[in-house]
Amino acid sequence: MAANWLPARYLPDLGLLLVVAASIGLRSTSGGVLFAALLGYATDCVSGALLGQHMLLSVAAYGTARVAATRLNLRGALPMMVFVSFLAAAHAAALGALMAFVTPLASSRIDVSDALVHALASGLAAPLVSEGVVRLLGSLGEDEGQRPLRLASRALGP
Amino acid sequence: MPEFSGRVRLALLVTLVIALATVSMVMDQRALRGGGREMPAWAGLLLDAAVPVQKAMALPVDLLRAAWNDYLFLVDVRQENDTLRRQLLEVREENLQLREALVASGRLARIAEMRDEFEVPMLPAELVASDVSPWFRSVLLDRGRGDSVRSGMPVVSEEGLVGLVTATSRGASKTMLLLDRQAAIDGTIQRSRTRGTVRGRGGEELGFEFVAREGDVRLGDVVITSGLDGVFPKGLRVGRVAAVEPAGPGLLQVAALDPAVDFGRLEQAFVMLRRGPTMELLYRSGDAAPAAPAEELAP
Repeated sequence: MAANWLPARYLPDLGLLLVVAASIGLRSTSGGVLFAALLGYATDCVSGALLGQHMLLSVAAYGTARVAATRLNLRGALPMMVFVSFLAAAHAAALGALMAFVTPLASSRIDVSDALVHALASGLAAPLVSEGVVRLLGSLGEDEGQRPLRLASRALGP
Repeated sequence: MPEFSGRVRLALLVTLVIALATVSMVMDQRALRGGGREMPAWAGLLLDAAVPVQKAMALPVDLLRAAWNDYLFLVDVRQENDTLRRQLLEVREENLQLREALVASGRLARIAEMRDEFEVPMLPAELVASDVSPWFRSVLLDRGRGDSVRSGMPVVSEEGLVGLVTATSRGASKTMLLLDRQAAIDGTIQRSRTRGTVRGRGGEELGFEFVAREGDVRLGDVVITSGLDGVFPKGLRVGRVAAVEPAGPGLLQVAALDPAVDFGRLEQAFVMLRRGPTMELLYRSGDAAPAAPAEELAP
């Protein structure tokens, strides 16, 4: 749960940031999916969302970040900020769409300005959180970037 | 080959997670329509753990705020005190006149009867955290099943209606605020008795949907609960009409309401320890809310 003296839209989405950090820091994709699912479920438990809503979106965010990490240098601060800002905005839109699907009577309209502020806050905090998580994983020997590259060797000569 | 089996395993895991999430959402949606749910043990542990963590995290800010309010902000207190005393005298005078009028019309006895009828034991609770997601409007209260709080119980403050308890653990409960997009209650305009549905919009204001042709809704009108939804007792303040949106081609017209409760400053609320008839009907099988211990009840 968030602090009750500051509206949640001004706070970065810590769950999303952890998922993105896991996507670039964790070696095992299955482990990452499991981590994202559990984190999403925990978020559902303490928020007003239906159980499963954040779980689903968290796994989707993990998949997106994992694919993006193969094409972009998400270890750089600027690309990370831009990517997370877009991802947070997409996350909000996806949540609205999911709400329209599962709770059709509720208003699923997401306020654009709120979504932008939240996306910006998440983007700004992303490099810091990512760096922290990657360092932590690195100290545990889990950093994807530190993985030893195995090269197939072939005996030379006759 | 190992790479192939790894991919299959991943695909199976993702499918399993998606299936679990979907089933979970559908079941939770059904439970929420029934007024709420008691959280499973593992999820309840999370809620219980969140209360002391949040209180510890909020401590420095609370101390700073207390220092500001108790010392630095006292500069204007004398002036404010004088104004409040004057207002109190005016209100007392007005109150006396109103009582006289009521006695004269013979309605006082009826109102006293109604008060006895609707008197509900209330449990004070502290708001320890607001929702982690900006797209949902719920709060965490530091009272749970151990304090006789059950899903489906209304939460109020001295200003008006706050929301509904939607999930409980042993020492905490989750309350969906009126502002949440999923919140909808039956309301009435106090002046004209126009009925409608109050819906949360996810932001800081509420929407009041009423039948356009029959509705008599004006700026400043006070909206109260009608009690007809069987969830909230009749007569709780919900909000005040801030704008009436122009009628469209449809049957319904919408008015924007300013909530009676200042949710941004809400720190303490009261859980009404009795569910409405609809909630009681939904929960009749199994989970009947026990009577609250007398020493914990506020009048």
